[in-house]
Amino acid sequence: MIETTDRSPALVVEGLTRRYGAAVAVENLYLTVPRGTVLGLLGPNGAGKSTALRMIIGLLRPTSGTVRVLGLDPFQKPSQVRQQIGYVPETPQIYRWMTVLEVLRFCRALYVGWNDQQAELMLDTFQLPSSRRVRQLSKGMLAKLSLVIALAHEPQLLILDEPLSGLDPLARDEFLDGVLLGLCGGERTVIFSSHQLDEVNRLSDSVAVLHAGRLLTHCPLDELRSAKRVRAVLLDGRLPLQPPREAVWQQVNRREWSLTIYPFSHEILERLQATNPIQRIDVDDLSLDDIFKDLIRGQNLKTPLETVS
Amino acid sequence: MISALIWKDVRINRLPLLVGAFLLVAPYLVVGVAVTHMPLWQEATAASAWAVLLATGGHFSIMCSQPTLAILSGNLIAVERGDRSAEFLGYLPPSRGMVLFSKAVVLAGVFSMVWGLNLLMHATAFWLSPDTDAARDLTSHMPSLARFAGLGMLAAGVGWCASANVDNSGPAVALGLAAPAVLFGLLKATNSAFNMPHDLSFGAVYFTLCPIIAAVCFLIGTISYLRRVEP
Repeated sequence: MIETTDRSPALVVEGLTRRYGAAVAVENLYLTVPRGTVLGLLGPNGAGKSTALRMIIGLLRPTSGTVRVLGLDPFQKPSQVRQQIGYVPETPQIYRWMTVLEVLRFCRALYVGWNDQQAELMLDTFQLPSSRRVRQLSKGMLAKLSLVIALAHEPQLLILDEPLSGLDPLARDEFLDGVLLGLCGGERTVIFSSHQLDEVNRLSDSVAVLHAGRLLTHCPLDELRSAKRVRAVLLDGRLPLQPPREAVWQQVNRREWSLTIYPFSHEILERLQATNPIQRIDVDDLSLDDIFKDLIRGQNLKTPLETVS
Repeated sequence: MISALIWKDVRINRLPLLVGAFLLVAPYLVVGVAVTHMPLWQEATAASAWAVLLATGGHFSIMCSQPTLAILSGNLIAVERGDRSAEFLGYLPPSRGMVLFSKAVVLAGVFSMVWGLNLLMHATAFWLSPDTDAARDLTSHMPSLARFAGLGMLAAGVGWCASANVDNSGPAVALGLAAPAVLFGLLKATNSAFNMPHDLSFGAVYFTLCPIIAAVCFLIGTISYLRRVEP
């Protein structure tokens, strides 16, 4: 492993934007990930997660904005950055004609900090047949091989781009166990993109939600978990007023509004009651699944704030 | 690091290299069979017979090896984009310069092997029988070796440039193979369009342009590959 005394954040993204003609894949993304933390990057399909990650590792040039990975610019010093990061894409495109052993030998020659023991340990844990060609591996095995490559050089930053999509539950569990094994050794930062919330729930310290290329929220997972859904029935014809900054409004029917609030507190609830003509109010706990859906749905609707203003 | 990349490039381009090996050796066999049925074979001494065989075989081998350079250079970069393995290589540590250097080493190695082996055969032929000009008689209707070198460079240069810019090796190889004929056709058309006098040496212009265009294509291909961020 390449040691560094630099204590800058593992990732700093400022104003990152990628456009394809008129279409915007990622828009004005700001993100800071401290070292030693696990960030879950959530978003529905087409939210811009993979595009953002590809720009972060220097595989795609941004239209505008800057990226610093472990204090380095991945476009100025790509080799140095890649020596220190491990990347598992959604569909690993490892040379199909190589055997598992040939892939590992090939990668060992390219990484300065390659750890044979770590590679062998993971190969054994995942029960990967070293003499089998990559084209003969199942999707689960390919994902695991990709994880072995990503972790065997003991990277400081591990980036996983929806590595579990299309895997059966057993393969998912084995893969996640492998990631957790990788997290055991030292202060490793992980960025984990997914639309599977249970995986993010299991691994992440903080969560960033992307939708239509824009960052909806970036907060600690506990804060997001504390979210509550407030269902308020307002007096006829009234619109909600002065919602908390982080709240997401949705109109359930003509008079009933649903408000997802995080972090939730009773003060917020009292303020809502004081400032809105509420007939009835209910407060529900939410699963991460519900919070995610509320965030995305709320974003898709025209918010009452805009209507009011 | 570089040896692993070269190993990978040789392995990926195994088929073009096998075709190249066949095109390198087969002309000697064909020439051998043909020459043994000619009257000069009966009249020649052992040394001069071998000299004819090696010199003529070498000339034909160089001619036949030109497609190898086009196929290989067209394949070298684009083949990894075609099967998307370039994406895998894209997030591994080697710089783009190093990746390209290993491909250039493979191409230069094949170029050296084709020319080195055949020039060695020519030298051996001259050493065996310095006076015999039978080989020269047999190849007199063909372009000289220097001109073949220019054609080979043109095919390889255009293939390299195309390979650096397209996502599929097929068009890159086709462009490399077609480049000498396309340049020939363009020059002929220019000649006709401007009613140029026939005493202006068409061949000299053509064979001078070949290495110049090849050098420009190699440069453009190299710069565009190095400047590109996407695999």
